[in-house]
Amino acid sequence: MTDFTIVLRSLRVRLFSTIVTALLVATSAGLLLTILSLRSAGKAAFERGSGNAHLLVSADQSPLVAVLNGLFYANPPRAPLSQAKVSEIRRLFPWDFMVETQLGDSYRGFPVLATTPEFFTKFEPVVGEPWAPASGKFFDGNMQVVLGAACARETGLRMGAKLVLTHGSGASREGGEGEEHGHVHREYEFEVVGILKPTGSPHDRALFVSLESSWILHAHDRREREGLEGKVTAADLLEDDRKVTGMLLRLPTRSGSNVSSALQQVFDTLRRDTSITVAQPADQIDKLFNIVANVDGIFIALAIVTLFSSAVAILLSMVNSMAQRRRQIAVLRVLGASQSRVFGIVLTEAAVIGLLGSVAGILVSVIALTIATAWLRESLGLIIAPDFDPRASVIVAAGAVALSALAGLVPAVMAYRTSVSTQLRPLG
Amino acid sequence: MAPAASAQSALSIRDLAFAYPSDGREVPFQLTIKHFELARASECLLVGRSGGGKSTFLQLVAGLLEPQQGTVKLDDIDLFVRSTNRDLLRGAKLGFVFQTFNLLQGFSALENLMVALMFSTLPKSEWHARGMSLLAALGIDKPNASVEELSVGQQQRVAIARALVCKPALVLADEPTASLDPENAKIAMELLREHCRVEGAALLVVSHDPSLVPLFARVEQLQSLATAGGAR
Repeated sequence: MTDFTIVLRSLRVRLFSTIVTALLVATSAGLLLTILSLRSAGKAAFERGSGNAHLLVSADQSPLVAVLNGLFYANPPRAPLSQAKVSEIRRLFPWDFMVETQLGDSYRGFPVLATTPEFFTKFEPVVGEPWAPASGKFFDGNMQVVLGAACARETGLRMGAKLVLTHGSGASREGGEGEEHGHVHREYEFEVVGILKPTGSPHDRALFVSLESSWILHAHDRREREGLEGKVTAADLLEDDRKVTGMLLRLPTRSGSNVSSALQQVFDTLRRDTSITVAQPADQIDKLFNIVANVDGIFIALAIVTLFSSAVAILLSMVNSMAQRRRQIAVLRVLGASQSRVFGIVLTEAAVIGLLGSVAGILVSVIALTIATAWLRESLGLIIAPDFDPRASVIVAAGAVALSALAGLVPAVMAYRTSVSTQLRPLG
Repeated sequence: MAPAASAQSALSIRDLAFAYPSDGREVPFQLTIKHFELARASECLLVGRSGGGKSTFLQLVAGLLEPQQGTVKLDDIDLFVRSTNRDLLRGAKLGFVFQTFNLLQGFSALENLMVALMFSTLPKSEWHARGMSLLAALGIDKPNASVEELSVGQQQRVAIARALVCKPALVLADEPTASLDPENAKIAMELLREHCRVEGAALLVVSHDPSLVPLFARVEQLQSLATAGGAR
């Protein structure tokens, strides 16, 4: 028998109140941990999507929009780049790679990226982690489509499946290949020739086709408007059909050399051209997170306020229970417990509620993170690996215990000052 | 001149004066005891009218209230000198039996004894055996049952066992029979007296129940202690 046994017995006697109060602490501690974990995991997920391209060029209105559209498939870019501009940029520097991309089509709400084979061989969606097919191959001809891992999983498409693309954002994912959001390119069927391994980046939600396939689809539309019939081939493409909406660029790097000064020079040169928007993806993601950091701060502040309110709940719960507990405290005093010892017992009770709550909060956080990441993947296509920071857990748990102990001060003082005579019998 | 305290005193009180702080509206309650002595392994019934200061007297003996003057010695240790840790002394030298038992709810019969032993000077290795043997001696055959599951009579026995488990020099019984019918009151009183005798503890019963008077060889009036000392 120890003081701690008395603490545990006392909590057990008030089991309902103990559970409710601990759950309150658990909810607020869990909320705080979830927000902290999602913040770091969210940034990591965004950083994964930027890949190994040093620069992104498009005709979007700002560098941030260029990155959100070009790498995160937020929206199709506002305007295409002309082939003349593409050629001009190609000649400007001895690029390590220059991958042309075109966005604008979709399949059941999933974005379609038309690009060149270099996209798979040179561009890495995550630095140091090149593309790898889970089955099949990368496209090597027209009317072939490669599926991102999440897209394949969610559409249920398998190798050899046939599909048609939609111009624009397309139908809802649940629906079929309707035309409510764009024109369906029914004349050209694509065959699934490869399914990619997951990369943990937004690219997993996309479908990939060759740039020439996409040009053919849109040339067909042009020809229809001009009253021309028949299937289009590469030979029918005009200069104006060969549109790209973005370019992923990388400067040559040698091991041990620092690319940053050269990159800045190239960046400055490209920025002088007002007809294009040039962005450094990594910088834009940092800027985006600096912008949302304030919102993060508000959420964290709210969670901390919730934690404080749960400490108030502990205080109220324990103060309410003091009416029943004064007799127990008086008995302990008569048996030989000092005032400071009963003070310590009551304070420990509050701290134990905080500890139980924070441990449950860690579990709540893990569960909430699992649900939140599944929801983010499902609704936003943002792949976030639950990244639980043990240091944050320890700090939040310690904070919850300290706050609970602080809340226990009032009932502990009440216990300290409990009058033995009035509790054990009427004053004689 | 006051009689000399016995070397074998379980309780010795001299020139005690206590008054509650005045709230300025009425004369505060005061208690004075010239001299009171209770030898080891002896027993005494202290009677007094309701509101006469019996509870105050018990709290002074337990060191829970501090007198303005006078001495209270438990087993020859002065309660109110700076060097005395009154909480430790209370845990080691005093046993309490209450009118409503005041057992700790949510604890088993044995655990109620173990809590008392936490504040005793007995070695920890002896606690369990001591608790079990005392409960067995008092006829408690389910020591691990929660006290809420025990009958009133069994709870009374657990309360007596808890008062004796730390091998106290003095057991204070505060209206121990007030919540019992006359027959059970008599049984409980006999049980308490018998086990105090077996354990060698002095017994001081404080009550206003006149039916207890015939049971005790020594009966003191609280009011009379204010003027005339009692020693035996």
